[in-house]
Amino acid sequence: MSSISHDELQHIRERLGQARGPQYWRSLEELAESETFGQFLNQEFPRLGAVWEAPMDRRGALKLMAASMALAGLTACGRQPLEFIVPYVNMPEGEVPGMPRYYATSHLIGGYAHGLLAQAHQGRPVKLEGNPDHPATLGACDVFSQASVLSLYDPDRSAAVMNRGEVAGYGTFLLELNEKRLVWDDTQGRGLHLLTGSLTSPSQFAYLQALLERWPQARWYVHEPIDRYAVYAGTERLFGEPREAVYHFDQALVVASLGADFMQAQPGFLRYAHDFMEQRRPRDNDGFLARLYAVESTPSITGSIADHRYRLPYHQTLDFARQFAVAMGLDVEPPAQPVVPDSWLQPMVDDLQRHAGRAVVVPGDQQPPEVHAIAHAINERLGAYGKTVTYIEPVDVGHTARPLSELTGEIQDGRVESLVVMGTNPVYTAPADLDFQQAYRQVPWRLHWGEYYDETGQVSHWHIPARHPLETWADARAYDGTISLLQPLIQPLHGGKSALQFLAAMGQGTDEDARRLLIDYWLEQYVGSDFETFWRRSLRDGMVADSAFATLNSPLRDDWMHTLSFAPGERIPDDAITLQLQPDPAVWDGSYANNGWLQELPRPLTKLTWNNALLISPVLAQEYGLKEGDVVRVKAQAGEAEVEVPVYPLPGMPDRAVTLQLGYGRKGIGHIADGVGSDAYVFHTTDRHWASPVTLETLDRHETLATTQNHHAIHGRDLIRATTLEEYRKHPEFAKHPGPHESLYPEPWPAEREAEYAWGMAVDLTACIGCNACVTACQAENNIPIVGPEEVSRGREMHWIRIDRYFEGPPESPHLFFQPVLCMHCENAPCEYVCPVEATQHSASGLNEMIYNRCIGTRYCSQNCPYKVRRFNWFDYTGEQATYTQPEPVHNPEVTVRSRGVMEKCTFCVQRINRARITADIDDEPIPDGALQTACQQACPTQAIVFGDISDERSHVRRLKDHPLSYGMLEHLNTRPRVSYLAGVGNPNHDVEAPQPDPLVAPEQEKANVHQASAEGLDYDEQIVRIFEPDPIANGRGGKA
Amino acid sequence: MNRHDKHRPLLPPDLTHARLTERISNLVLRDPSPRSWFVALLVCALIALMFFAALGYVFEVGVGLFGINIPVAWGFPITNTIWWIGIAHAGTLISAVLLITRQPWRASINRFAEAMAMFAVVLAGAYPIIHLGRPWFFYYLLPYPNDMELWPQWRSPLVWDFFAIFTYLAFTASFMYLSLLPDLATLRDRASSWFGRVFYGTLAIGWRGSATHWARYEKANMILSSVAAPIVVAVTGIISLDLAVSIVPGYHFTIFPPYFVAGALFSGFSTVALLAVLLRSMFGLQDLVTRTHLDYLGRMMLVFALVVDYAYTQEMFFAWYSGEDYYRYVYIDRWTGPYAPAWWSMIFCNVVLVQLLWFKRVRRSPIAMLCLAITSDIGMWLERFQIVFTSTHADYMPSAWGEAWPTVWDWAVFIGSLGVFGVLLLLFVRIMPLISLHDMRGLIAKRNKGGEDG
Repeated sequence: MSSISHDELQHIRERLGQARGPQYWRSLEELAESETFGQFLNQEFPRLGAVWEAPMDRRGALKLMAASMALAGLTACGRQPLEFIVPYVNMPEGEVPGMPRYYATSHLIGGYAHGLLAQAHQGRPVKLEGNPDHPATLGACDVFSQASVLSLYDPDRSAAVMNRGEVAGYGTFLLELNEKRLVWDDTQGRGLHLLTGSLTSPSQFAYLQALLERWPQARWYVHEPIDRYAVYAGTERLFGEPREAVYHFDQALVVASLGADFMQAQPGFLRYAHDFMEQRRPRDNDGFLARLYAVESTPSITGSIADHRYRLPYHQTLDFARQFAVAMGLDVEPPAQPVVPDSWLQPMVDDLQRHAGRAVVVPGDQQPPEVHAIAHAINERLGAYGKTVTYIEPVDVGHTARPLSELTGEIQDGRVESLVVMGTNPVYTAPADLDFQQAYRQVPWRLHWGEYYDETGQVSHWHIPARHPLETWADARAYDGTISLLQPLIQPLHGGKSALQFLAAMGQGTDEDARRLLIDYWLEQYVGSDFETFWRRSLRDGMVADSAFATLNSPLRDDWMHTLSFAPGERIPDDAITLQLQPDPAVWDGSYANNGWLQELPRPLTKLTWNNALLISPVLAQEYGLKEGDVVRVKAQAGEAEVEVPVYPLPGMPDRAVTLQLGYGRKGIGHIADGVGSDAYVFHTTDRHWASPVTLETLDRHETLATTQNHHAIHGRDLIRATTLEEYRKHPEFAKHPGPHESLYPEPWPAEREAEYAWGMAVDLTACIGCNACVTACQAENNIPIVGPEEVSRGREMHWIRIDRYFEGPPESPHLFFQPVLCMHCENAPCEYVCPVEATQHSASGLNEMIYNRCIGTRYCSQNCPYKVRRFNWFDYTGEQATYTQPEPVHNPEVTVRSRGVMEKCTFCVQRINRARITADIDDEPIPDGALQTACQQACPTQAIVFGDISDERSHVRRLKDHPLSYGMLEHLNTRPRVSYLAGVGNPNHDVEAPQPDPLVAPEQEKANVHQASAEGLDYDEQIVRIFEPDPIANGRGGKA
Repeated sequence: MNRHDKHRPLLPPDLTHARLTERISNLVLRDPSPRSWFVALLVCALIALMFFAALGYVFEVGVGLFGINIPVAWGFPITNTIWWIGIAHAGTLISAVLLITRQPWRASINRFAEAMAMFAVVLAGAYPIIHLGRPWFFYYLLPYPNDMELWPQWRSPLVWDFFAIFTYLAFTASFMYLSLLPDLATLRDRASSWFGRVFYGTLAIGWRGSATHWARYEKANMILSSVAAPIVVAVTGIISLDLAVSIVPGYHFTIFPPYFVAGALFSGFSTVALLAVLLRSMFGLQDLVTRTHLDYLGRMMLVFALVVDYAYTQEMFFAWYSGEDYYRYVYIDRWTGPYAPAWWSMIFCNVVLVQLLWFKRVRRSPIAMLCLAITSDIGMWLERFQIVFTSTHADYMPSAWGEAWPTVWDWAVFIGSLGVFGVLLLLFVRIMPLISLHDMRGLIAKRNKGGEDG
């Protein structure tokens, strides 16, 4: 329609010549009213063509315009993608924008529920906190639960039903499933096999039971990588029935742990840590302190805080248990030779017997059943039953199911036609000798339900995405049997089906409502009259009231000793190197591997991030000439398993034992998990579950390990002050060291400022167990980015609170000290006066505040900070250039997300302070003491952190600051920190002889070697421990450095 | 001085006013550039390109490219600032202090020493901005009126720094321009091209060489020179306060201001010697910048090196005498820790090698002086490096200890700045007389009068 004829032009001219007023036209063709324009219009806009041709008056045109305007809005409808992440359109009743709401829910760790309160901002969960009413948490929160909120927004979470590697619809799945169901109906379920993880949910168990009843030929198996088989097997041998032990450390004065990390890795650990430390509070009561003995292989945080720790390779723990039992007067066959000298064992036995009724022995979950049987027999002897330990029916009903090894046998026999894998990942975690992947691929029909499209999902015919705990309706039992409820805070972000929905689909072949399914179960269970009230109350509380299991009377079997087998057959020779496998303190069995917060969490003892190095003893490291990061090849003595892994020498490891944590070496899971660390499951075999003999072979390779603390010796500095209970009673003020010189100008404490409150904090070093709960809490609360292993190894981690870990004593049996270090909010802050742009300032209530907008990044504040608690955004860690972007919705809307080039640090959770202040202002009352908690304080299971108003003489924190144990770190610099520490007090037994130093290498020689290494100027990583003397005179003056 | 002049004259005996003027102005106006000049310019320009490319990337991505971290949050940019500002100092000292003390040997070297000072200050001023996490907000350091009613914080040495460097830049620029004035007029008069006449004529702002002009010139020159001495001391002193005012062991030493001034002058004289050797051979000026000049420069280097060495001993003494573990540990760590090679190299360069300057043959040998000038500059750079890096890498809390090692970007920005410096200097010597004509004429006049009042 480009050409226009001469005639037409002529015509136009004539028309324009006659026209009056302005005349608008879009093209010459239109102007010419030519035939071609009409054709064009008809082709392009057929309807408009009709309008164009129709006789049109002014009224008609206006009508048409009005109609088009009205209909214009409709174009916005229909094609809009479903956007669940936009929380709501109509504000829910009672919602106040900007005010977070809390809902009680739960998180499962190894199947055991931790009661939580989830904080939601405008319908978006951003923070998980402990549920104060829940028996497993008492308001504290562990690292896994807290970090799970990040997993909710994980873009790598499974987002679609997958059918043989292709995205499919759930309806298609149901069609195929229903075909299978018809077959199962015919055959009574022959060939149908179900594999689940550990199961503590009553409703899921009921639905599962219904399936098994409907198809009696179907089989149910359980595979949980960090299983508790030995707990039930051991108690079964002792009592004749499997039992779950629940410990009551609040009743215990003397505790002995047999390889049990009950403060970090056993169901109920938060509660246990809390209860144990209740009995160990010199700040409240120095009349007594609970005493802890630990015999273990790999140093754990429980062993680290023990008053006496004896290191034994994993396989000798049973020998120790037998030796222990004999010493307790039990009729148990003694070991071939004692593994622990009597000078160590006997005082412990005496101590336990002296405190009979208030003593308890705790066997580790990963110890063999015999250790459990013996430990609980000792408990009976100690009169612990009903006092410091009670027994309930097993919380995990999975112990009644068949084990995985039976399933692989069935597969090999060709009897498995359909395999349904539910919430577990056996292709990755199954014992290596089963070669589960090979077996699994032989199953004709494989169905997987899980949160990630993981190793198992990828080789399944069907993969159904599971809901995240914060999206789901479910129930589960806690360590004591309390039924805890999980309720969704958000619509499933990626679709996904709840466990009950999946089980219902299996049973009925339909897609049911997740909430309805759960309620239906509880309606059936509920016997009272007012279900609505019961249900609402349970949801509000996050648990079903009084649902904990009742204590069972547990008499010992008469012949229990004969049920134990001490077969020497498969024993590990004592001179072999024992490899112990452990759940990882950050990624557990690998299910948290794609969680950036956890990957970057410094592991409590090694301060290692983003890796699982092989932990070896300094002696072994010396024998093999290994330094931190040197790569070795670990080979199983039996079988072909081998792994190349960097080593990390850890003081306190038994000389000939090495440890590798599980959960790493994932492939194809997500951008965080992939390629991090090495897979330790290759050493995991059916008969050698947790330990096996290995050989080491040094390789000429080195990897830089991303650790957050490179120096482990304290160099005689008095940063940490600790002593024994006896010394403390003699010198209660031992921690008070001479302060700075008197100033001519009086400096009142706290400094006189025109504010109502003076915020301060006290950190109790006795109570701190180094569990990292505070670190994760701070990360979640304060939008702290993750930076990745490269940046961490360059010293650029961003955590606002770090837990320093120092060793004391000889490298073989060191004491560990943990010290949380955060911004001290100094009254005389060295950071403040050096900032050229006044970007860091003091508030009236004593906070040292960062003004991000004003910061230009001179980093002078960090240089001048003696505590080195400031963190700098070296790159864009939060925006588009970030390597590890955090999903936007997980950010706490009350905290600024920092940009590149600015300094940041602990704010004492100023957003919480301000919210409390606003609430108090509205109520016209002062903020009550204890009502305001910082995130770290709130998460701490042992209440090691206390925050409050130090100008209020009755406040808790002020009382602690006035306590004789209180001291300020680096006080001689006259920084006058607002954070003070309560010196650590231990309660060692003087009759216990310290373990002898290792004959292989004398400590002097070790020191000499290190000295030489550091003189070379290259190996700055001192792998030794220097003796720290808690003696005020020796410190700060001697120039020992 | 007279005795020396007779034996080792600072001027060739046959040098007259006319020949001097002809030679020096021809270097600018007539002679083609020597081939070595082109080669040097090309090399320097390529290095300078690398500087700007690296800077562009650093500004785009962030200072995380540099090898710094917590605890070592200051790195190469701070090291380089102190180093460049130190180099700048000798220029001012030669032009001003030696003028006041009437040292005749300054005449032939003061021009390029001033130019060196000028360009070194420019680079010294650039690094603090490169150092910033958010360099686009550098103006927050300025006391400009704003609606937040915020001023810089006057207690922070970084603000003092800003003013010190700015003052120094302003002073150096005006001082150099003043001393260029009579020579610009000479060039204006001798320029044959229209562009030359306009260019130099504009810059000469009507200098006619009248007695009134000269009288005012002399007065202004003397005033600026008198101001120069305190500025020289104050600027480096203030830069050193960046470190000394902090509470970091290894930074917090009261001797830092004089120690840094001595160090600055040591590196400054070394750089003047370096440039003297290079330029005299590049432009064939061996008879004007003589071995005697090198001798004097060598003596100055020796004097200030000895002051620096004395400061080292005092620093160590104070670390021990303070009785503080932390300070003592910093020293032990400097000797034995991961950065020990830097410390010992520094001692080798600044303490051991400079002792060669006691020997007259060394001082009068251009090659030896070139080598010693380079090692002294390296030594002084290492001194700043180890102060900046070792002090916080192992300060109060062992748990926070860590190391930072320079990355390729650190080196690119550091070495690149040498290229920028080279380009600026090479361009300068082609468009300005690299030997002060009027100062030399004064010297010739004095010699002609019999050298009685030298």
